[in-house]
Amino acid sequence: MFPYRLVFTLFVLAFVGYIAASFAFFEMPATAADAENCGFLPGEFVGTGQLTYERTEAWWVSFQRKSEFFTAFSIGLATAFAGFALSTARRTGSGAATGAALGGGVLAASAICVSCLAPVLGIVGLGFAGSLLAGVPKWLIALNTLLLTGWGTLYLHRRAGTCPVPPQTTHNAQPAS
Amino acid sequence: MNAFIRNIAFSTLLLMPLAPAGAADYNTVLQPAKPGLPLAHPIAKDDIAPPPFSLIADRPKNPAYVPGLPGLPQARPFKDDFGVPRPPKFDGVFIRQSRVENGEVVIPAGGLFYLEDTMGGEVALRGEVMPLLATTPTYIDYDMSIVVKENVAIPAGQSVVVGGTVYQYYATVGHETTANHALHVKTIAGTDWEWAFGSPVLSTSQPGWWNTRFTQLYNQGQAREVTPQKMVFDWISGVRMDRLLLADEKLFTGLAGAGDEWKSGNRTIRVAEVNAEAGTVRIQVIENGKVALERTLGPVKKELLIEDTAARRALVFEHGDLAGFLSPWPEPFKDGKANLKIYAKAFSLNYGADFARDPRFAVYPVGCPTGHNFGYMLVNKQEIRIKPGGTAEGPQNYFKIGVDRIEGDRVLAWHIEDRLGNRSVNLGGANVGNVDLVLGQGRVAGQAILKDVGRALLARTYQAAQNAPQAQATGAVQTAPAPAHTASLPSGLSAGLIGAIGILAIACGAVGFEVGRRKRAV
Repeated sequence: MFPYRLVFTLFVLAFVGYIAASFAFFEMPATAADAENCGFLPGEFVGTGQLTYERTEAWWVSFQRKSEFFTAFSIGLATAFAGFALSTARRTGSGAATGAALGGGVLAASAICVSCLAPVLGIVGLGFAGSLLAGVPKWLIALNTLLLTGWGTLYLHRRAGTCPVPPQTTHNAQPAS
Repeated sequence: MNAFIRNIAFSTLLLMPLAPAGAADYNTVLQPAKPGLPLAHPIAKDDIAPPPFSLIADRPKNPAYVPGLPGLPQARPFKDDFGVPRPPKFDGVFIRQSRVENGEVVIPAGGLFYLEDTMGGEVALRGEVMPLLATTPTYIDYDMSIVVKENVAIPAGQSVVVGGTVYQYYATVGHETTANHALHVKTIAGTDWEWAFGSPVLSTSQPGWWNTRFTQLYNQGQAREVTPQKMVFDWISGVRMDRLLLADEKLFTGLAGAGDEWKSGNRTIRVAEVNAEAGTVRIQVIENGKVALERTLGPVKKELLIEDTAARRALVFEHGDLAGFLSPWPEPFKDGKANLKIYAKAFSLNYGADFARDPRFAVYPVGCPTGHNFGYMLVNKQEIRIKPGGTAEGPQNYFKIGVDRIEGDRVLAWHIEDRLGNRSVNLGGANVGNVDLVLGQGRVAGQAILKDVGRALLARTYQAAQNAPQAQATGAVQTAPAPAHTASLPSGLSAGLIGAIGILAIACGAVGFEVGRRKRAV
């Protein structure tokens, strides 16, 4: 039985959550270089913290120009996949589930690395991954995420249907005799 | 408040009667171009208000400068019917007296104008092209008049409008107990005649100047008081280009004999008779089988052409939207035929009248005292208000003024956009409180008006250039200028891109494997 509701709910939550976070953490660029990095044209930068747009409009312009909907889509998929993997842990084995969930997390993190959110948050350590993925178009990351999570879903779903494994916690709870 | 007082004074000046009844006959007072010649243009019977903000003090304040846009072209070359290159044509756009009010940009009536900004005079009867926004009609003929005003005072530093001419009392230069006083002469569009005639200098204490009576073709005046504080004229004259006659369609140009005819709709233009000896040709316009117009054109008075009104009138016919003339060049008659030019879709641009193709604008042709034309202005008749995010359209949507962002009384972002969708850079900024503009590189925008606004314009341009690198320098990273929205596009096969494509291939294989395995299981 495939947990459609769970997967769909997680996807929507992550998708919308990313958009909300993007809006919440959006900062008007302080320099012309920052403005260019956020997708603005040189002529649209007026001065420190000032653009030719109001903040809300500026965020939306940046979101569109930086193709952030692909990032939101990737994060939604990765999160939904991670949730699905954990939900099948009992039947597929905790190792496989954890590995798959971790894979989903890596996908989500890689999507964030090239998003506009990471620079604003100033997350340490994402710079290297971000620079590695900087030349990768977001649509390609989204497509890879779709295929990898799709493959992972097919794999876990097959394994869960053929080889149920009792949870390890049951054995650990047995008293020593 | 100053502008208000100035406008009242200006209106008062306009209300002053032209040459009142019983006054001097200015047909005899004014000097012709040469003794014995008639005045080339008639003396105006009525005054017609010039466009608002024609005074020097009303020039754009701290304006933005835009050299041009693809859809507002500069230095377009044209030739006349004789293959002679004409002065290049420039598109000009000007905004003056704009302000921010209640979160909106306000451009008052007369504050915005498009200028067909020619580098030199446009001459009638030569088949010269005169751009009219997106079209290129042919300039055929014109009506010009001489406006005379009496008892005109010009305080030092200020200006007055006489017809289409603007006089400014520019400076007094003292020397011991003597002095001379310079009067600058411009047009309502800002063309400075300094390059053509010079500025008349009046002086009662130094010889060699104009004393109190100056004559520069039909810009003439008789002063009764010249002091460092003001000049007072008994009378002063200027010229006004009352009408331009243009046509969108050429029906014929060349030699035509009796019986030749051309059709335009249900009208026929016919050469009824050619009399080369008398130097005349008789033209008929036939409508519904009846002769609706019969005109004898000629003879040619070459010694008075091109400027003399009567001499031109003798050569030109008009009937509805049909027009034509007996061309004096290269010769009016040859081999018993007349040298004719016939046009259809003719129309007029009348001084102060609505621009028929977009009545939101009034048209003001700009004349030179020689009788040459110096473009025309298309001036907004109604106040324009633009909210942030809004635009105001120029005549026939030839350009747009877009306001992007206002904060308090500052216009942080605005731009001009041509009809092709090309936008200027952001013309706003933290120190910009209006949308005053000078666009173009023509005789006015690129030269004459710079005397009045050039310093502020250069200072503003420098400030904008200075702010740009400073803003970049405050950032940790200097980036090469590039369209920002291309940053997410692949730029060659980087290691990351190769890896992503590899993952894509592996993922495709993995999905295929899983799908295949499921099919085998079924």
